[in-house]
Amino acid sequence: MFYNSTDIKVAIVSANYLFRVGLQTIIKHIGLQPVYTFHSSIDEYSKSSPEPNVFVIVDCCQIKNAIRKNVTTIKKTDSKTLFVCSELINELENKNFVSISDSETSIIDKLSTFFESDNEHVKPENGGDILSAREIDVLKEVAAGYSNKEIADRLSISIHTVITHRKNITEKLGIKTISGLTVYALINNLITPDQVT
Amino acid sequence: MKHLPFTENMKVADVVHINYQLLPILGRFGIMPGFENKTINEACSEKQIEASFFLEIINSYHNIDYFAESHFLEYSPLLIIDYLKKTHRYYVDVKIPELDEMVERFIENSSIQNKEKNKIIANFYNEYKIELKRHLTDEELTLFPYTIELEKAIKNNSTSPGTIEKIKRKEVVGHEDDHHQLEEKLLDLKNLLIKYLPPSVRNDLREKFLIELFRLEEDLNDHSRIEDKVLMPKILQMEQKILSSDVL
Repeated sequence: MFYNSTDIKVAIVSANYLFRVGLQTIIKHIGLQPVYTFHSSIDEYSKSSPEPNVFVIVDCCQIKNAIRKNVTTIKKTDSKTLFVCSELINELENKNFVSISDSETSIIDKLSTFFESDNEHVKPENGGDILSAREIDVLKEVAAGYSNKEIADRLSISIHTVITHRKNITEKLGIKTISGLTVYALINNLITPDQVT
Repeated sequence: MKHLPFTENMKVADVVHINYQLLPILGRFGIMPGFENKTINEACSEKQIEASFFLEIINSYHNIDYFAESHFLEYSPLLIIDYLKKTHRYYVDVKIPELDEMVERFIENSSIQNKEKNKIIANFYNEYKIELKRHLTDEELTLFPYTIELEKAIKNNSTSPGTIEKIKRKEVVGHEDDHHQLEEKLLDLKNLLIKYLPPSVRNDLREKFLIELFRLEEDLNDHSRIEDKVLMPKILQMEQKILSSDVL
């Protein structure tokens, strides 16, 4: 059920002593003894040349609007990420989010699930050889049916950047229509059928 | 030798030997294998087809550089529309059912691993098919009747107000865009099959399907060319003639 304890690497991103120590205690409580690295901010973490396959836990309690930026920055580094926040943010899927005010059972449950499930972590995202990580992000949004403006908002980039990415994607893949790109995304497990409008 | 234009005294059989892909085109004119040693002239005469028009069609299909729009413009639009209608019939009654069957066989014979992905491609083909059929029907319901309407008006030297109205509101603008969109979708389908769908256990079935898609594409491109470069200019010509000569 769990990885061999010593195999797990965890990066804790927080400027708070209380957060760091509290988190380690709970993780020990679950029965894990990972190897930890500590970082005071997302930027610092990204700059530290993160290893792949690291579980990242980010303290977002004090940074409200930076969450979006954090999500996208972390996505670049091949890792599984858990966000600890003081309020529910729409961008995050439920399982990657823990609220600071959650109950003991809820926190333990979420953390266990976080360390346990290896599907997302290990499943290869094909198309990674052809498309860059950012292009894959944009492709997923296109396949899900979002307009250029919506994509720009969702990924915190300019419309111009979205259009450039789309041009590059089409050129690299040789696929022009939106439905064609959707098929490509489906075949490569970049989106699931229910995500397609 | 392959690029010399076909002429009326050549044997129909030789046309097929030189380019077998012309077989369906011949079929559209009602000229079908079993033509012995007949020349093009003889075969056309038997079926009451204008031989020179027939030659324009097969020469344009055979050699992309041959396409002589100016020659085509000399023919009655009714002749052109008749040919286009027969082409539609070929797509709807022959080609598409053929492709449908191939897709079905391909899916039926998929490995368990690939079945879901193959189905996704099959859905994409179905989407394309629906769009293609809609486009063809569209043409038959608006473009073709409109052309006939214009031709009648010129022939009888009298134009109804309804017709004038249609001319003024640009009844058939945007037709070329439809062709373009369909082309893109077919190209995407081909690329998905050529590049991105994982290799199939029954590669022979996939190959067959792909090859027929290529053939359909060629035929459709030829068809679009005639519509865009011959029919549309012809329509414009007729519209202008009506507007300039009409006295209200």
